[in-house]
Amino acid sequence: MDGKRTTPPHPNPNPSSAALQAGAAAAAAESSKARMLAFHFLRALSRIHRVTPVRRRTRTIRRAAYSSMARAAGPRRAWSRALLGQARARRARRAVLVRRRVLTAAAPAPAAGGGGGRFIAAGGETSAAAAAAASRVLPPRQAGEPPRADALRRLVPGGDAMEYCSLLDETADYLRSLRAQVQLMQGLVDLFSCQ
Amino acid sequence: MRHPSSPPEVPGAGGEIQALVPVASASGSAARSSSGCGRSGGSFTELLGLPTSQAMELLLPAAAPAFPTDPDLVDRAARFSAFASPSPSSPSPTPPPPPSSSAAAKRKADLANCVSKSKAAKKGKTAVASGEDKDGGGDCDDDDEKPAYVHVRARRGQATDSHSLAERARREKINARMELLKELVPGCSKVSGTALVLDEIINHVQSLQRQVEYLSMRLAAVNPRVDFGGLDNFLTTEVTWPDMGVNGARHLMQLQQHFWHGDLAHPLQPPSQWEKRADTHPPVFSNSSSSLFGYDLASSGAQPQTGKLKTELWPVSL
Repeated sequence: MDGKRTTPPHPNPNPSSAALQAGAAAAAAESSKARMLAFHFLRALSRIHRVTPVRRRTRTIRRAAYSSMARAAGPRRAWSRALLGQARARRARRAVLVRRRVLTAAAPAPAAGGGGGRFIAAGGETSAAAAAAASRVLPPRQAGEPPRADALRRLVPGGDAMEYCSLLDETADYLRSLRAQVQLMQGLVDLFSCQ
Repeated sequence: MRHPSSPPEVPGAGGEIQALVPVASASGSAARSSSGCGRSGGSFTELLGLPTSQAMELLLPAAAPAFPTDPDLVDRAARFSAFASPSPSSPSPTPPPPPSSSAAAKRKADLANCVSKSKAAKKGKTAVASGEDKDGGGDCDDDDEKPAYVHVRARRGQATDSHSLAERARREKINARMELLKELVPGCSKVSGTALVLDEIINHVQSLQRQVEYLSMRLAAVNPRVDFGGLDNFLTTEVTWPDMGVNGARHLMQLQQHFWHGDLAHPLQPPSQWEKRADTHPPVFSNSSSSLFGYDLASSGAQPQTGKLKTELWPVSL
């Protein structure tokens, strides 16, 4: 597997990157899922540190953590699908707001055609997400589940539309992914704080 | 002829069942002598007080042609049961040569499970269940035998109608999942009772989410002089990459150059280019089983929903 590609050279202008690589060796666990998690999260982290202003970073980093968790888990899990669906809806809502602001500020005639089309697509997505959130009101078929189960449904993403049995299943997987994510972030914090 | 009425829940005491046997066998011997059936029944059919063929009709109204030697099995099953052995009047016919034990066990289990659907055979079945593996067989899905059924072994003293069986299967599934969760949550194995375990699980999930929040705050405050790009590059060399050819590697190197030389003229361009490449190569991802995304996309293509998600959601940038 190593003979597949040539390892690119490592120019090291930054003196701290040597320590970074040592830390990365510790962070990149043996399982492919943990490695994928680290990859996605670090990519997002580097982008955030470049782009996002300081005051909004915490929220963005947290959302990036959940997104990378969901991406590492794959589309087979209901909670990862729900998480990424939430992220998309959020982006769509933000796009709608931005376009609305642009439309009211700019001249209406030329922008209305393109902006309106994107409106409708984004609006459809957000309304679908809103409908999914509103359907929380009607509980799915619960035969003998304990009363504490609805608290669990609120915690696990996408837990509203599941039966109790699959809720437990998804909770287990969600717990495993959460633990891996926390370990990764803790390792990163330790790495960067002891410099 | 003694016809058992629809039986209530069998009382837990075995003594009462034992008491029934001598009564049944007394009447059964009379019935047996009158019946011209060649097979000498075990105490099971004696209990019913019917000749074997009619007993089989009771048991298996629909599935009779599927089991050609069923009366044999019924008798053998009954003979293995707890109350069959002390019955004095049951003659011990030559035990039929036992086939391979697994086949016998399978057929017995199959028979027992079919029998479990009918009320008339309840006592025999519960005896079989108690005599043999109780929990080992418990919720075995014998899919290789009868794919349509979920085989649940009803234990002694439990109702056997289909609703309660389904309920019991569901409950056992839920209990299995709770066991898994108890293993995952630390300090939960000694807690007993479902409500407390659920509380523990909820607390654990909440604490983990709070930890994510706290750690993201700390990561946001990390010194921005630290070069995340170097870390990123190191990990990309570790991750098994789908075979994007030489262009992919060259692209990676371009990314690194951008990060290290501080080329902020086009900050968003390299990531977006990478995303575009990923967008135009969904077949690459779906073909390689050890793909970047870690899961088997080839098998997930069977579900249309995940296939749609694969092309729409997954290559999208964060």
